[in-house]
Amino acid sequence: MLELTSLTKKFGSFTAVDDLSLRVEAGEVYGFLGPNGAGKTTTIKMIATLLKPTSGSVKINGIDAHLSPEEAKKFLSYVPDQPFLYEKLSGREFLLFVAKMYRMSENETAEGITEASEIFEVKPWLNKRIEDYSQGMRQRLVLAAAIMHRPKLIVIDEPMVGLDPRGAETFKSQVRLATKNGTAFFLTTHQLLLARDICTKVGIIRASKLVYEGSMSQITGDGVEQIEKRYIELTS
Amino acid sequence: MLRELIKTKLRQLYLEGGERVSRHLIRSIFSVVTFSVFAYLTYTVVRFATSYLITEAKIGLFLYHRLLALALFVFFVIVSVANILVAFATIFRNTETEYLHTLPIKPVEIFAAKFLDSFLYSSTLMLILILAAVAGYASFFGSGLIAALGIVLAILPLILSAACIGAIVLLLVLKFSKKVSVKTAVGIVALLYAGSAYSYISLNNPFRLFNDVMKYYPHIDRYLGVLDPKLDYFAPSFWSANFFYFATTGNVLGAAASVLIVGGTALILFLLMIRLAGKFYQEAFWTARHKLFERKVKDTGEMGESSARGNIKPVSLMKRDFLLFVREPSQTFHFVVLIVLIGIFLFNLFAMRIYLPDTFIISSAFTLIFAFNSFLIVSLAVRFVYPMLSLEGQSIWLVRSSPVKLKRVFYSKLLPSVVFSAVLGTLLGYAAPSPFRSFHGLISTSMVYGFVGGIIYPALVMIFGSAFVDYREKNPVRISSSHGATVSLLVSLGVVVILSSAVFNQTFEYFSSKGLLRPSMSAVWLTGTIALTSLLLSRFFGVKALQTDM
Repeated sequence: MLELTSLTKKFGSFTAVDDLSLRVEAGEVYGFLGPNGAGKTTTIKMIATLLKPTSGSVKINGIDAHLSPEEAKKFLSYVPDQPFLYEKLSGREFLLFVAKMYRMSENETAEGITEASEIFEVKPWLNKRIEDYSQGMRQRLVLAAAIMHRPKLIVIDEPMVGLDPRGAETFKSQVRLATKNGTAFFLTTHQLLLARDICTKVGIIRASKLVYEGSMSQITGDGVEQIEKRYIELTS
Repeated sequence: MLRELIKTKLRQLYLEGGERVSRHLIRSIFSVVTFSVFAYLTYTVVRFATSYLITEAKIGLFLYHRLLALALFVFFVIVSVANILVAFATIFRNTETEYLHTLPIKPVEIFAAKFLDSFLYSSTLMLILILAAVAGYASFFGSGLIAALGIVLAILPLILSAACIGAIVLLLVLKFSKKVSVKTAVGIVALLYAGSAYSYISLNNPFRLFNDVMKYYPHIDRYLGVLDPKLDYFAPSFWSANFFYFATTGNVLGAAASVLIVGGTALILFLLMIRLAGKFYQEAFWTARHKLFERKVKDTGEMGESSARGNIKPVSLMKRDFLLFVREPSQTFHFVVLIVLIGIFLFNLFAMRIYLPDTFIISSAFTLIFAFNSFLIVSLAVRFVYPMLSLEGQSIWLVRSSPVKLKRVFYSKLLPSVVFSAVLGTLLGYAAPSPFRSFHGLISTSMVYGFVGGIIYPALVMIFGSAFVDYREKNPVRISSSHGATVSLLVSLGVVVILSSAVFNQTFEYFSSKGLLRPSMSAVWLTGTIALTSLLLSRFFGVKALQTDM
């Protein structure tokens, strides 16, 4: 579903991402971990076509995201760590706008809005303006918008920002549910427990290079302390 | 898809000042009053100037419309340059644009929607000014039909052409900035703009044209196209002015031909812009993002989060503001351009010699130079002082949660601006009288008014920057093109008119008597009171803005 091949991004003499190759298959949840400044956000922005790679390629559902961005993005949902929202629109208007952008039919839109807003419990807030939403409520709305059009790949930069424990639990269960339908996830997080709970595969990036790739259980066994210890070893 | 995008944009724009009127009632009323007063003033000034030039000075319809062409050309260049700046902030460096690029929308559709956004955002004041000016023109010539047709057929296409040229230039700069550096590309564009403006204004020197036209006296209402430099045919503003000439003189065919040229040019430029956007916009967007990230990478470690920590003292705040200012290319570039223009203007003032026999005209000429000086300072204030408090939004949490007095935070922003602008005002006040004979007697008065104006304008602009503070907008260009910024510009221009009137009265006296001029005490008291009141009010509103609930 997602294929990065020798992806490299340079800014002048500084290499932000160096020869990164990885694959995320349908139904997989790929956790992209690493310390601050390692190159996670640059990678994600290249996947979302917000940055062009210096070399290498990003393929979404087999389509080169930088040669045919519009085609590739039909299969993608991207949730940044600080998502943009139209403050003056209501939640419903925002979801309607997203539905139009993904060319959803009226029936699909109505169903999608109902379903996604129920899942993330934003339904009672849908008619209020987004400027009145709390941080957590905004994140729920953005996640609802992300799943509404049933994308094949969801890319999320720090999914838990602002979510309360209930929201976090809903997110995890939705990820599990969506993967059963073949949706692939590519997410970055600093929360190792989240990675342990939902990721089927993790990649660890350090100083712009992928230094580890495998399953979470390969890293650790199950103990939390083990996970943290191993993560620090890999990223030091 | 494009329809949905535009619908959402317009809805967002409409709601910006819509249902929440109760919260912004005072702002809204104040804005409406200011816009109305200013529109009325523009209308009156244009009507008076037209009446004076046609019936008193008897310059004839042809020359009058050539002066109109010159004014429209200046307007055209201003709209185009303003559009480059706002379009860059709106089409390339904007959180909404970034979001739209993650959706499966054609880049050209994003471009079109954001172009419209930028066009509406940056043209409000221009549209009001031009509507009022055309109304003033039409009321003198007694034809509402000409006004209506002129606005729709000659002025709107002109504004659209200017905006399209701005956007095309921006696309090309970003396209070629991969081969040459951005600075070089911007430098070439600045040279091209300055060169074409200089050529046009030199070729259409009003004094030369006046002499040429007067050779045909008394047939000076006739169309004397033979006197027009050929370069004029390439300026859409020339054809807009021609429309008004032909419409006023009843030449329907000439008016129709002018409209076809202006409208056709706008259409061609619009289509060309969309075509270029289709080819280059995606690449240009990536280039702009790359440059942005590149700069972030360079800055990491030097400023980074450290700007948001540490012991906050006024000097630290000023240092932080200074660093943030010099590291924001849109700020430094625009600042340098304005300062260079002021430098060229100063040089020209010292080199220029004006010999006019009539006391009224010479006093008017001096007052015009003084008013232009004031306008330069107001422009600087609106562009750079107005956004200062809004830009604090990125770290307002720090200011509010630190043991620092908010008035100190406010002073750290206002005082450097006031000092800079007072010095600049004094310098411009010193230079303003130099083109005139026996100018020495004018210098002290001119410097005093320049100094006082230099204090008033940034303080006044800061009042509005505080009252209309927007902590969510991060882009200084968009903040300084906002509704509140426009209001601050209009109110400041009102003060420019008051100060210029005082200056006119005194210079008229001076040129009548040829004695040494001292600033009149009543005028000094008046302007001093305005300055003090502006400073106190700016402090009041500034601290209030910093206390606003987030």
